[in-house]
Amino acid sequence: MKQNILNGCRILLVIVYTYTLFHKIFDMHSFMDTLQKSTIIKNNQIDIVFYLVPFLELITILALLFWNKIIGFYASLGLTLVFTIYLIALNNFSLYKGCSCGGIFNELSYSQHLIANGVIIAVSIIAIILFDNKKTMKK
Amino acid sequence: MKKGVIIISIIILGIVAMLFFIQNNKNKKQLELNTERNIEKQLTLEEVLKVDKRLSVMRVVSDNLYFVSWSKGNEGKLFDYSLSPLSYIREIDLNIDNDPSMIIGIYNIDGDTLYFHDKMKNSIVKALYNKEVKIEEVYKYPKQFQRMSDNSNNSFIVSGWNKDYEVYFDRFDYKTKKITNIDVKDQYIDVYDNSGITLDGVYYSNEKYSVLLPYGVNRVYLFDRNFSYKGKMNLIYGKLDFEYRDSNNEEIYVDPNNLYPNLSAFVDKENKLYILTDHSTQWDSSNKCFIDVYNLDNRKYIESYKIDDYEGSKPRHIVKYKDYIIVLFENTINKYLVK
Repeated sequence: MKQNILNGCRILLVIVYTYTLFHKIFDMHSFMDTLQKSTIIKNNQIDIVFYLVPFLELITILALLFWNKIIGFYASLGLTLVFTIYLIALNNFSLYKGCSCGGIFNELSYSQHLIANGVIIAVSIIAIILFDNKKTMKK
Repeated sequence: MKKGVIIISIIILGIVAMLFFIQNNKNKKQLELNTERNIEKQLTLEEVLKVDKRLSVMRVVSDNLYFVSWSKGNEGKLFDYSLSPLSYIREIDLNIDNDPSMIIGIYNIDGDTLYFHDKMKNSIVKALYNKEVKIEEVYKYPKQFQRMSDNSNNSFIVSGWNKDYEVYFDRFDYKTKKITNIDVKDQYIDVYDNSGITLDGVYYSNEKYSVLLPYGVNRVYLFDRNFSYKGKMNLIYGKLDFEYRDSNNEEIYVDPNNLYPNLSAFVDKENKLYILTDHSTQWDSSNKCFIDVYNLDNRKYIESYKIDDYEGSKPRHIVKYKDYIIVLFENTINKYLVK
């Protein structure tokens, strides 16, 4: 049972990160456009964020799939947490409100996006708690 | 236990890192006044009218208020309201072809004749409206333009930017279709990159003047009603940086941290220019608006009125009507007595 929940969490996170990563790669222009319009990211940080975010998402996916699953869950928690704080700051203190998660995520309202992020954070935390280092997870 | 410590550490670290990042990146641009605001008169709220759609481009013609709405379902429509008392009268549907992409930019009502800027078609349209709307002529302007002034003897100032984003000003005669360049000499313009975008703003007119008020520059450009350039007038705040972001492709990205203090304006019969000035910063934007009044004849600042947000909404457009200032908010039209 525990193992099934853990696998479910892992598959869900892999799907979410793969979806947003592919969206960034296949619609790079839109991702760059979002970063350019962000009031929080400075001009000289745009290129760094442009490459760093997809790279971290890729690392998270690889860790969750093949490498060290617990690292993948921790990375997922950290990434989504940081992104959620960014989103809150952007929506509360700045005129531009945007994310570039792509596709269905772009259709979400601010509060729906926060709920979705909250679910991903919760899933990551549950997975970390359930994870047993001594047992190998089924792929 | 160990996992709990790591989870809490990640959460604390994430929050601290992001707070530091946000604090460090927070844009601190704000208006610096060159002269103290002279606030002696107050605005007293007299009337409020709720509106069911997001209205824009408020104009006053005799005792009526007109608006466009760019919200879905209202493409190509003007909305007519009475000023005393504030009440809805009717809609004027100029979208004869039911084109869902139609966007009316600026419009100008002159008796039964109406001129408007059809943005998607880059055209200036002449329409007659009385009981029924009749489109008289659609003139596709030969070059891309962004703004046009009110009509004066069937002529307009038409302005925009060329392929290098440099500003141009044309005098356009609707009858003869003659276009002549208006020479606007101002070194200030040359200082800015992409002057066409930087100087983007709206024209406001009365019987004597047409004034271009850029959204993000501390200066207005004055033209007479023959559309000859008459010079500029500095506003009461200092020059703002208007910046662009580095981009590897052809596209121009305006820095989202630029300030746009000049929200809207109105020129009254006494040649006073009322500017709705937003004193907000990117991070502090509630109750930061003023109406600054200038004399266009001597190009001097006169006075200001403080205008507060209403039901959480910032004022968006103003017009002067008798002793009142009419203010458009997100969901209401408010009438304030100036005293």
